[in-house]
Amino acid sequence: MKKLIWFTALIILALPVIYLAAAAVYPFTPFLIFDLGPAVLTTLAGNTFVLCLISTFLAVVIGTSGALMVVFYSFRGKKIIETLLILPIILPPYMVAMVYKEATHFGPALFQHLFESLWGCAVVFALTLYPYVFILTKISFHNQGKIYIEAGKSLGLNRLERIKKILIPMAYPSIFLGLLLVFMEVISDYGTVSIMGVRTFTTGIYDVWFSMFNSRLAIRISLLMLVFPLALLFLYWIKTRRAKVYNPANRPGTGRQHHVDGWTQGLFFAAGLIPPLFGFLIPTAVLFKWCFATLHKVNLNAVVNDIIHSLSLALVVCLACILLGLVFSYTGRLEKRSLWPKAVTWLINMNYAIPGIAIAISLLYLTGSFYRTIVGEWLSNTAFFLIFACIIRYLCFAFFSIESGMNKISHRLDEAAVCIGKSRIYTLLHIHLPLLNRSMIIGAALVFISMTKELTMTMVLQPFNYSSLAVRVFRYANVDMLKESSVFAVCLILISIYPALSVNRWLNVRQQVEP
Amino acid sequence: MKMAGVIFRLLFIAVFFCTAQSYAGEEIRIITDRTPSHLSAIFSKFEADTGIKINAVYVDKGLIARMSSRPTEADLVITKTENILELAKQKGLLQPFSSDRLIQGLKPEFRDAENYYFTTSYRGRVIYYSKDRVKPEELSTYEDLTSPKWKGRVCIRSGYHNYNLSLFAQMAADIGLEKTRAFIKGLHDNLAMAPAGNDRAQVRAIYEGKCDVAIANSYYMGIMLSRDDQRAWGLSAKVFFPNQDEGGTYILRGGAALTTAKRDVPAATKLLEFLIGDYAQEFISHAIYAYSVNDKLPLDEVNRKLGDEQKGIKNGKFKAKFIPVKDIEKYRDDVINILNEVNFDSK
Repeated sequence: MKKLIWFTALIILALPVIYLAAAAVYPFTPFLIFDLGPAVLTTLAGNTFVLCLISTFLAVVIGTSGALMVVFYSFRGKKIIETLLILPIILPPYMVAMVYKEATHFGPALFQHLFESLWGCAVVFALTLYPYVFILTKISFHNQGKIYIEAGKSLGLNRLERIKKILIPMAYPSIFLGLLLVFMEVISDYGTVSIMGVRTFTTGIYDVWFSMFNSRLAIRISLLMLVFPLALLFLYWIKTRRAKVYNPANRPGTGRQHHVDGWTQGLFFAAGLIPPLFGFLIPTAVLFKWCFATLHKVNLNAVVNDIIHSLSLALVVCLACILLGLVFSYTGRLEKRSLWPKAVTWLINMNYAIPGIAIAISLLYLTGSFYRTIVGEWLSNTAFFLIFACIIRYLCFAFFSIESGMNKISHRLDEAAVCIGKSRIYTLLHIHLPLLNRSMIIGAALVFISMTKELTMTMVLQPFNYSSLAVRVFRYANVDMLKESSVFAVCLILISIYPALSVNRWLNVRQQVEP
Repeated sequence: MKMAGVIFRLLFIAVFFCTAQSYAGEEIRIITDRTPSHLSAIFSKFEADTGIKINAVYVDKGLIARMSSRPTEADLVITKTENILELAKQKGLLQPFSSDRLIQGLKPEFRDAENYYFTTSYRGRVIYYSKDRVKPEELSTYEDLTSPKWKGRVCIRSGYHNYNLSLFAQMAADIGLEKTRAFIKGLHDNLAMAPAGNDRAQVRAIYEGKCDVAIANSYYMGIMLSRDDQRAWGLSAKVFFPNQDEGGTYILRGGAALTTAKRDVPAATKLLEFLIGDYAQEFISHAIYAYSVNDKLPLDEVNRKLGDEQKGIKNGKFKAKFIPVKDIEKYRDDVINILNEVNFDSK
């Protein structure tokens, strides 16, 4: 019975991958990909590779140094910097690209030339995606025991050496996970690269699917794209399989933070301000300015409708992801030796790496025959399939957040509960849940923020008479009505700001470690 | 447990909003790749006149994929380019209409030969040129844009966009594939920058001095002039109708058709008829600046001025070339192969 449940869960999660794989191998035409021609293929592969490389590198540098700065140092204005550093996560990269692209039209031509390039695109990605690295690394720094830092001190290492030799290496798994998230986000992005005129595998998929109507070739490209993140994931697995980072004293650092003053203080403040300034404050200010200038022209009913749609969709997906994340990570905890939970973990990871458009289209075809039944038709008239697609893609945020929280709960607690005759469900509800508060809220907020930004799956799977804030922003931007689109963009920012701030608040539960 | 109660209630409200749909009275369902701004005014008027409710889904991407997987989801389909409807017809996703008003009211060039789809409006795929840097006498045909004098001076959006695929395929149907190959290569050689952005972005590039001529749809001039933030782009350029001595300017047709759904064909047909009626056609001419399928309707003031500096064009009337969509669609794959060959979207 248990196996059957695992098997069903696995199949449901794997639906898009199974469909894509089946459609790619049947009929067997291994050289179909060369239909694109060597010139196009080289451009797409080259651009995708370089873009992913630069943007993940920049995001890792910004995210890690930001986390180092706010966890181990104290300086005036740190609280503000700490909050600001998280905020760019709210803005979809395409929105930032849209604002800056418009701005470059009013500067010298060279500016525009520099911006509308691979480099410009990579900077936009780095500025909006580094919070993933920042959040994960910050959590990791918080959990590192003070004992290691003290050991470093007693070995005579100076502060820089302690950072280089102890803190960063111990945070590698988290940094790598953040890198992976950024990488997957960049590789499957469509909005930004299409606005910036950079051709990647994803724009290739759109051309092939919607202009050439060659779905088989589009599927091949989506699967080919999976190779990169899967290779990284495999590398991560190999690296972290053996290396377990324990905190023997179970004493997450409570030591004093190193206080900087004088001009260094100003330097720290400025360095911390730059990423959120360009990744959040400037674009948001521009969007607000446009919004106030256009508000009278926009149909407010449409705005309210879109807010309700975006909010309710995000909420449903959020709750479902948290619930599933809890179930999967708890059953994984109970069945440590079983292979099923590991398979589920891999699938959840992989689903995030598949471009949203490929998940959406595969669900569309998979549910095609189901559509002809009464239940199928009823479900298609609701947002059911859209919700389903979003759960499949964004489950990873909730799952990993909860799983990492769960891993920190000592098994002795479970054993104690069993000893006094409590059931597993009771243990989960009354012992684990209260301890998982922080992980669940962070996971939920991340899913919520991703959901409000969600674009491609909504465009394909939306029911009749439906629209969301993100779709409306993109639709208006696409026809050069940036001012109109800004009204919806501002609403999107406003509904995501509370979840983003709550991530910040819960991240700061433990603090103060001196390197 | 208090928390669980709150979560449960939130979930209920959210599910309610996600699924809420009203079902009362007669209603029809429309799937379209157009934007709401093109259609919502027409739909509202239709609802008010007939009492039939319209449910629409605006699928910007993947219209054919959605129609193939759920063929009877909508009663009718409205598209930006009729080429998509020809494809849908070939895939068996459409049924012919039998309305006399449509068959009698539309000229043959605005209907599919077997009455599977028809044209709701059309626009020219024209040349925009810089008012200051180009004289209209320098322009003549599409093919002329490949001559050395235009080296580094031409702009166009992505070759893979349906508008350009249709343009190139019309050319292939008209002058043959080999000449079209030479045209695409020549055009690519003359590009001022890598194709990116939409049609208006190309005119904006003329305004910013990045290029001197651009290929884009005719109705964008009206749209740009009607918007404060884009008027300067429109004013910096003029429209030239190419190929006036070679049979006419190539055009793009917006279309509509019945899907294979049999729920309420009479009501769906009513909307199809409404689309070629006076209200919808006037909206199309004056609010979207496209050309009406009804010759009797006067051109919009903006469109009357298009081509005013071009010899042979009076009051915006130009010769358009109506190649049957069926013949155009045959060349889609060949054109794509050529685009791949020259790596058209890179510079």
